[in-house]
Amino acid sequence: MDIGDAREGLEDIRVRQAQAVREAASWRWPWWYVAGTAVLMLAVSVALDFNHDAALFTVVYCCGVALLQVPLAASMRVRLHRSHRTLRVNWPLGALVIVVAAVYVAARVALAAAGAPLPSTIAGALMAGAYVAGLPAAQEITARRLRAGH
Amino acid sequence: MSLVPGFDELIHAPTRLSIVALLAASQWAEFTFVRDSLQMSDSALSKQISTLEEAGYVTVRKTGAGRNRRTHLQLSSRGRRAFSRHAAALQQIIADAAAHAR
Repeated sequence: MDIGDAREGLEDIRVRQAQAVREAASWRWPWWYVAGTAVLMLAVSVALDFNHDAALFTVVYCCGVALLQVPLAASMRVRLHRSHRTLRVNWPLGALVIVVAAVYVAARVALAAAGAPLPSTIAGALMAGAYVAGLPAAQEITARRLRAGH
Repeated sequence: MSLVPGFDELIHAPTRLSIVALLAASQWAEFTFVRDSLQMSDSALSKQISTLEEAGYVTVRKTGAGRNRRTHLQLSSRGRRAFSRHAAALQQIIADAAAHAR
C-alpha cells in the first residue's frame, strides 16, 4: 500500500459519493404523489365547509399522506444517508409546507371575514395550487444545495 | 504501510471500495443503480455483494415480485464503521507519507 494507492482510494470514495448525491438530487416527486397530496388538501378543505370536525379531517389527511408515502420508495433508486438529509439541505421543502399552510389560513380567515360562501373550499383550492406551483422550485433549491454539498 | 490501523483489505479491493463508497453515502441503494454507476454486469456485482454480505458489511433486501422485483443494498452498521475506519486509514497513510517527506 503506497501513498498513490491511498490517494486513488480516497478519490474513488469522493467520486462515488458524489455519484450517489447526484442521483438523489435528480429525483423528483412523482406526479401521482403531487396530485394525490393536492387532491387530499382540496378534499379535506371541501369537507371542512360541511362538517367542522377539524381533528377528524386532520387525521384523514395525515393517513392519506402516509399511504401515499408507501409506494414512494419504489420511484427512487437511491435514498441518501441521513447525514445528507439535514435541515440545512431540506429547508426549502419545510418552508413550502409552512407557506402552503399560511396560504390556507390567511385565505380562509379573509374569505370568512368577507362573508364568502365555502371559504374552506376556496382556501383549499388556493392551498393546493400553492403546493403544486411551489414544489418544483422547492425541489430545485433543495437539489442545488445537495449538489453543493451543504 | 498496509498495517495502518483500520485499513481493511476486504474493502480496499477496487470494485468493493467503489460499492461501499456508494452505499456509505446512501441509506439504501438499488442494485441497478450500483450496477449502472460502476458499469458492471449483474453477475460481477452479485459476486462482490456476496463477499461483502458474508463479511457482514452489506445487507440485501428483495421486494416485490415479477417485473416489480427490486433489490435494495444497504451498508450495515458494521460495514459503515469499517468504511469510516478504512477511509481514516487512507488519510493517515497520506498524512504519514507527507510528514515523512518533510
